[in-house]
Amino acid sequence: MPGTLHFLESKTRDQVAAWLRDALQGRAHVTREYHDQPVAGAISAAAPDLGSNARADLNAAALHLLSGLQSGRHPHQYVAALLRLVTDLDLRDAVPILRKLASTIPALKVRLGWEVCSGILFTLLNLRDLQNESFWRRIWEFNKRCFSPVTLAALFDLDPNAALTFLPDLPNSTEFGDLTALTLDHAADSYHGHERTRFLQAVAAVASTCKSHIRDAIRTWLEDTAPPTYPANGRNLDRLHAALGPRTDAYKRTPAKLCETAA
Amino acid sequence: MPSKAYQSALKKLDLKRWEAVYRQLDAWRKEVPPSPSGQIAENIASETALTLGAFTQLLSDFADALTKHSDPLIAWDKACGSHLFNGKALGQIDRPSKLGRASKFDKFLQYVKTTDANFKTTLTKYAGVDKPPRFLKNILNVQPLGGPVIFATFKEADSTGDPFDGLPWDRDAIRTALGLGQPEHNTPDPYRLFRYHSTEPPALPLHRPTIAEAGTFSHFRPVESATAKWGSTHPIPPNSRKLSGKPELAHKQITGIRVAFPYAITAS
Repeated sequence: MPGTLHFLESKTRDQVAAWLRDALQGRAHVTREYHDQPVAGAISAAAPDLGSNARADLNAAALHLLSGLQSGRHPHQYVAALLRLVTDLDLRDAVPILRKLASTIPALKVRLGWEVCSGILFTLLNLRDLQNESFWRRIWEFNKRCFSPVTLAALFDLDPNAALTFLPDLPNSTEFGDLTALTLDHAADSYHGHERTRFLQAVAAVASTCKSHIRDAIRTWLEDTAPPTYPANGRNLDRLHAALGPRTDAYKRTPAKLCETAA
Repeated sequence: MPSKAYQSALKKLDLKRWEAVYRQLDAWRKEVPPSPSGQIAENIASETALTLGAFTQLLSDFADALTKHSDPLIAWDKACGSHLFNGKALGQIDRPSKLGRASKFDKFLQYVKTTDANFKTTLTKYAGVDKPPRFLKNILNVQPLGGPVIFATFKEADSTGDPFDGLPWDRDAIRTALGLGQPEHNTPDPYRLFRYHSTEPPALPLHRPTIAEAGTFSHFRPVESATAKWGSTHPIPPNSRKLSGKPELAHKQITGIRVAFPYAITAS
């Protein structure tokens, strides 16, 4: 909404930081553009209307609060909202701070928890700071279950073909199976023609070495998406099925009612 | 003109609370230039869907919250949070079986464990697809379809019909007709239009929406009739296409497991 944040223009940088901390914790009102808009989204949507000084103060305040995560304890929702804001404002200057936070994950998880650490790593990715394979492999070793989604996304962003070797290492669950299929679906779209066929064949080959839920999700994805270039003929499909072994039908066990209760 | 329900509820407050509520609403109304807070005050005074007891308690809690929060809008928001779904629940006969909801992409981002780009591309890719891949169904099955309060619309003439029937499927028309707020001039994002089932077990309780579910969202409008079974959206001005308001219900947060495919994405 135009002008929603104009009151920030009369504040000092410290006052903007104090307001932002309150707003992200639900202690200061932020006018939303629609009913259930997240606070971070409402702030980032209104930010372009600010004058250049106030805009700079807002960005600096977000970076200041981000640096503050290096010490003390912070509510999970506040950190999540702050990370969302950093992403929505596309604050590339946050990358060095996020890298520094990532380098202290063992200490960070004691204060903020594993989920927040995962959020920090996803923010790095959302800001297109891909790092390298050894960085993500090292991160993954800290907590294989918690960091599998971000490692999966990062490795496929770096190099989908090389990332296939990570799939057999994924923990065995339907959730990771679905994330694998989503990631493969996205990665496959970056290939065309023969390259795509080769990629899908490589996926099928590695699938047979994956744990059961991951293997089933990959098989279902290959069947559901039915890409026109794969399989080249029916015998390829037969070979794929033989290679993948018996299906465990994990998908049929989605606990529908439990999902809703949990939400 | 304040509703009878509001006047009666206000009278039930003790003097201290009455004064706190009255002064705050008056201050909101008198803000110059007119602000969303002024409309929230108007909405509170026009509410007809709450029982006297529920309305009185809501105003009383608002008065108490004003003493704890320096920002009056935060106080109103906090008070509303403990009075959700006090509007009358729809009976079995009146329940629409198919509901519709327009949702922005950012609602999903906080829950899905992948990058923004991955999920945004995937959701866009499979819009309009009758049978999306299983992984996407599974992921949507466990994602909340909105916040703690979800506003939904339906087709009044045929409760099993398409909730978006008759609406142009562009972003501006959906925003205007469903009363979703002012145009997003900086980062316009299309709406994801979800249709979902209310009757599949467990049946979803559906309520006439009240000012408590609206909270600080100023584009909500209470319906004048105390006996109305559901609310109505207020088309956002200037509404150059003269779109009518749509029937409106409120319900608790649900996951995407009730979603009927295909979902759609509005045109820009």
